[in-house]
Amino acid sequence: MSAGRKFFITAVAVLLAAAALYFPFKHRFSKRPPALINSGNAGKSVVLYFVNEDGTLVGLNREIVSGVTVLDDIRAIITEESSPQKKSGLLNAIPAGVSVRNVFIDDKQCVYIDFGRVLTERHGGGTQGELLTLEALKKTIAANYPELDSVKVLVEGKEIASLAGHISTREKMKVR
Amino acid sequence: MIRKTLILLFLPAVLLCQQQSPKAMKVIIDAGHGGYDAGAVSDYGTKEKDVTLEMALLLKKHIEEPSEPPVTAILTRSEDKFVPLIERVGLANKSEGDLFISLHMNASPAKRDNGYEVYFYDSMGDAETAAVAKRENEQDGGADYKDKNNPLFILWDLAQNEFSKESAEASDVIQSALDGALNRNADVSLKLRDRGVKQANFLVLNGMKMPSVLLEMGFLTNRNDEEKFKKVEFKERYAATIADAVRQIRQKFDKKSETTIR
Repeated sequence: MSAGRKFFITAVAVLLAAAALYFPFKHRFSKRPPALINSGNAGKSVVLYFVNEDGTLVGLNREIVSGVTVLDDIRAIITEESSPQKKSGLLNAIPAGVSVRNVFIDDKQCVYIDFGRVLTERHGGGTQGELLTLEALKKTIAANYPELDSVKVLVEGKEIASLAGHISTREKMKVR
Repeated sequence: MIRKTLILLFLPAVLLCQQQSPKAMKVIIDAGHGGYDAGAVSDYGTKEKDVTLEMALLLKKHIEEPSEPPVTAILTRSEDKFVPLIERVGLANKSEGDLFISLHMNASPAKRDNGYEVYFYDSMGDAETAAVAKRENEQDGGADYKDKNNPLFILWDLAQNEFSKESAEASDVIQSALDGALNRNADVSLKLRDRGVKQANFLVLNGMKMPSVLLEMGFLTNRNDEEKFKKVEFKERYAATIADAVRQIRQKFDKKSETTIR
């Protein structure tokens, strides 16, 4: 057997062995869609939405420290939006003190944001109040993650009918 | 023989009476929230559920004032109790109402937000189609996106539920009436800002088998709006204006059905 032929057979064997090792554990390598993983923990410029004194949503640029995944970032962004604002004249569209329990994305590019029960318990109600909250969520996702298609609100892991008895939250809200 | 003669004598009179007394219009009045669900609560303790109930009772009184054709009102709640939204829809449909009016008080994180707005139902998909139709028309020179000759409107229209057009018309009539009585021609002490007619995906309007509107009467989070709802004169005028609008809606719908029959 020539040296060239030996090299070829060895190369094929190595490739087959690598493939045999890779495919059974493929799901471990692709647990998180690659696009969701951030490249580093660098600062990231994002747009957050608040309500001004006239009742209009305004977008503001802020810097956040990127998490490991985009899901971590979305969680950080929404948490920041529900933090009491120091700048006068800015109000929370998402009730202050709301916790984000979990964020995940389905295969149709819908982002599910699972809030703590404070979202409905502390919501001030009113059609306008509910629309501002929902619109702020849609605008936030649209501005920061235009590749996503829709957003869905959950509370304590479950679908809710509405935030405070007016606008339906049973459907996914299109952001594009 | 006597029986036949009596029937022949009275039949024309019975038929004449039936022709002369048109069917009474049935309006379902829905006082938003109730019971443990207070709705929005102002900084000064005013609860949405109390204002909506008081206004619903006032509206019923004004609506049932003698008129030709007569109008009757059915309340989804007449006391401070919780009624699930699905039961409100069920009651309205079971009662075979001609018009459903849901009364609410608005709230916003912004204390300056004020005024009334009239809503009719729109599922999210419909809103998107309407928005596309509107955008396309704006590009075509800003024509009315509700133009019936516009194919995009036809698509939008088809996507609407059966009573969407009547709901839109009813919303327009109520908004115009309120604009006249509480905005343009009102004293400063009774003046309320007009925020127009809007569409949204309301739970209480979903599945309604009749023209239906939701009226956000004013903002409980705005001190001036809240104060007005403590004035008897203001509340009476408000309820009387909606009742007048209901009669206009009746006439509008009657004219439409006459045209359809012809």
